Amino acid sequence: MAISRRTFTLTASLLAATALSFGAAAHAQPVIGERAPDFTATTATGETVTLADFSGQTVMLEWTNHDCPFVVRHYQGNMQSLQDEAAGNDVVWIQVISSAPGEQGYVSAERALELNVERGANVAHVFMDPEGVIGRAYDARTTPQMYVIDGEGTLRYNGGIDDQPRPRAGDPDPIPYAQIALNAVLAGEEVETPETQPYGCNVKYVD
Amino acid sequence: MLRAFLAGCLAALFLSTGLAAAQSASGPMVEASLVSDRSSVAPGETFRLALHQEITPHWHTYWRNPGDSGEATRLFLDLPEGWTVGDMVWPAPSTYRIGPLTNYGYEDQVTLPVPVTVPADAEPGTITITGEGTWLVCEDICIPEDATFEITLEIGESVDDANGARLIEAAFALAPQRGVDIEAGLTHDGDALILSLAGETFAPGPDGIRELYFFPHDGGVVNHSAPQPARIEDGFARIDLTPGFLTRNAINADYTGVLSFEAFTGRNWQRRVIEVTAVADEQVNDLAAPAPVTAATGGSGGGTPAPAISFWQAALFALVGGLILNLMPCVFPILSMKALTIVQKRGAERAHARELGLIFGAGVILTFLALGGLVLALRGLGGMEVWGFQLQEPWVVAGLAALMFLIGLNFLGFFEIGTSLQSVGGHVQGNDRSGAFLTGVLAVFVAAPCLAPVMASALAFALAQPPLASLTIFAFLGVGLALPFVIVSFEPRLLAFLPKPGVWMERFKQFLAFPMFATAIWLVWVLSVQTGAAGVLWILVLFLAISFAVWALRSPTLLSRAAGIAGVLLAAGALWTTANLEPAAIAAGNGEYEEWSPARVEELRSEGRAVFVDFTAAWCVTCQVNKLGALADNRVRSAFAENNVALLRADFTNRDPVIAGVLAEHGAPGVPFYLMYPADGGEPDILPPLLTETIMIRAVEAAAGN
Repeated sequence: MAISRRTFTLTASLLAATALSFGAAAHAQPVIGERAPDFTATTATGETVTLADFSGQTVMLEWTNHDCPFVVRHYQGNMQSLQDEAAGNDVVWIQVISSAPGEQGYVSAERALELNVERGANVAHVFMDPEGVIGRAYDARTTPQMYVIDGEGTLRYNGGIDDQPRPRAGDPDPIPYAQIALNAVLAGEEVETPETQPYGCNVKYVD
Repeated sequence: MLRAFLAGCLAALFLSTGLAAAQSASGPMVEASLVSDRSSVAPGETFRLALHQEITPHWHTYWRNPGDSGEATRLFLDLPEGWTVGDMVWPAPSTYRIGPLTNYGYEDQVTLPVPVTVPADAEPGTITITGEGTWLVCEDICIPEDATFEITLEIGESVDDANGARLIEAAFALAPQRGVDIEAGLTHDGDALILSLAGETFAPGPDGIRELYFFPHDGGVVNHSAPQPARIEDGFARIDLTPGFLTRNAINADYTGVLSFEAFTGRNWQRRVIEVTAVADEQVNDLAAPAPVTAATGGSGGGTPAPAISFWQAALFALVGGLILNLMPCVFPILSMKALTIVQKRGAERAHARELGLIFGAGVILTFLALGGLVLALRGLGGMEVWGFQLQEPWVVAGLAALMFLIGLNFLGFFEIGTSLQSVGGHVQGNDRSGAFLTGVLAVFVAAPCLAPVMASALAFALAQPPLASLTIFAFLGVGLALPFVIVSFEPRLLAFLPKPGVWMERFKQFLAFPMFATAIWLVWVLSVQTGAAGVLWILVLFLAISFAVWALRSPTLLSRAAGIAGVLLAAGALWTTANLEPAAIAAGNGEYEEWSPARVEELRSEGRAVFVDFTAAWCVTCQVNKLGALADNRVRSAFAENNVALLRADFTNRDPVIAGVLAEHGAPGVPFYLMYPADGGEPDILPPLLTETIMIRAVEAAAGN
């Protein structure tokens, strides 16, 4: 695995740069049950889309970084089967890549599409978010991290894909929080666990 | 069918080896081993096994609550029948900030013990215990690693294993204390989540406790990356947290966590960690909200310095600080003006002298209150509350310089205002009163940038207080500054020591013009640093215009009046031009000092060097005194050189939000401010504002670890 070591210096200057804005409002907090943060995104196929474009459809956002070990593990079949099931229910499944240039997971639009072909991923869009604008609006912290937005544009789920940071032999079966939330929204029911602790690699935001 | 099954197995095998290959390409980032504090155990006893990690520099593994991302280290033991294992003991974590995210974990090395109990009926002999450890290790990318272990123990006598026992004892020494009598409650206050604390632990108050920080055992309880401002008052503490998703709407459970702080041992500050249980919807004290934190920049702990003195101490400090201000170089001209007034009032009616003294005092105190109000207003507007800020405005510097120049001209007899020599003898004049009041106002204005050492902490305290308390502190500063003069005006016997009036008085007054001019020269120099040569040009034009206007206005004819008005207009124009000059880039005349930036500090520290940072400004007299004194001392400079201390200078002559942020973060109300970062990467030492050779050499040696 190629390791792009970010230097201490970059971290420090980032800290300095964010230090002053860091005080009162650390970051936006998307709120369950309220309007999901709006976005204007450029997709890997070059389209420009906004949240309003998906009005009336359930949207699943999946923050991703194809080299993150947690993402790799879920793309051994689990993520693809979730995507297939969602596609069958007319869910708009969107991957978001918020890795900054030079950071792990940053790819060209072309490569992003290629990766999905290689992995047999089934997604409606891939959002290229190298500036981290959408990531910060949604306060995305880890890859994978999942969000479910209903047809009204209301945020219904935010958190981990399941409750098992590390599926191990002998572990109980994971509770697939994101899938349960998606099914509840599709069935027009309340989401029982609308927020969970996301786990995985940190999102590699731009400095 | 069978073929398909085999293919599936092969695919699974391929995928898992692919993953393994991905993580071992650069070798494991963690050297892990399983250690025991016993080489031989007795039946029925409880001993400890531990997962010991040696971590590649700059990489870290995770605490039980990894924070915003990551994964806690785990150890699975395969124990024989009847053996039982307890919960893992977690040494106190450090804080890692990566962009907008915060993680909790360990770097360099960590030992994670688990208690193991041997059954009472264990047969003597040899036993092998196997185990598996899994962890995530991250720098800016993350690698999951795991390892299997095997350890062989004797069953019989209880015998220590020297190496294992050493590591495990060290881990316990770093682990949170349990059973400390601390009451803790968790409540909502608007959008904030308040952790209120009570217990003997907090008795030392802010003098003895700093860097208070709460690490919750579980994710989702708090927003890990939000700052945690804290207030500590004898026996009580309060931390303002930002809720996580579990506590945003309601607090449905008691939450356990680790309270981390630094305690003063009498000689130095040492970190302490205590396990607490915060009871849902319970408030164990009614402390006011702490001051908001303006910045948090990495490092470990992540707490915030609480103001380190109580209210009355601060008031006393403010009083003493005000007294000391009387002796500061930049107050000297004012002192000389006062001296002049005293000399002139010799023989005046005592009541009148007292009245003038009190009016002067009122002028001082009211000006301090006005400045205090201004600071509070700026703070309310989210501005940077840094003392001495008024001299960062070129127009203020220019105006003050012109005022000094004018006063000098007046003392030389170029023009007369109010009292002349003839009025010595004590005609009561309205001018005396307003003159005394204005003298008070001027005294404050000029004294403010001179940060006397004690004033620093009083101001830091004032700025972190509710408005009324801050204003009280400001008032006390004023009392201290005015007190000597008021005493003299009330105690005419002190006046008896003054010589008799005579011609010498005129000479004396003329002589006092020179300190005024000297002050004007200093202010012109400050302006030259702020705005470069253009500033010097315009301020000299201002001097010219002002003196011309004064000269013209002395004559009552219409023509000269008109000329005078023209001079005044020119003066105003010159001042306006000065005010609108572009700030000059600070000249890099720093000699051995490099220009400061937070990034440069980190860079130098990552090389394992100690770093000394001099926060200074041209308008700060104490800074210049230190620069020419202790910092220029040959012994100090050779101590810097011998210990390879990196020298950085942060120039605050003009406004700089980054520097202001760092000052605020350390609770420093202004410059001079000195930070000495130790070579071993620990927290920086804050040096006093008045440096001596001894202080510097000690600080260098401490930072270098000698």
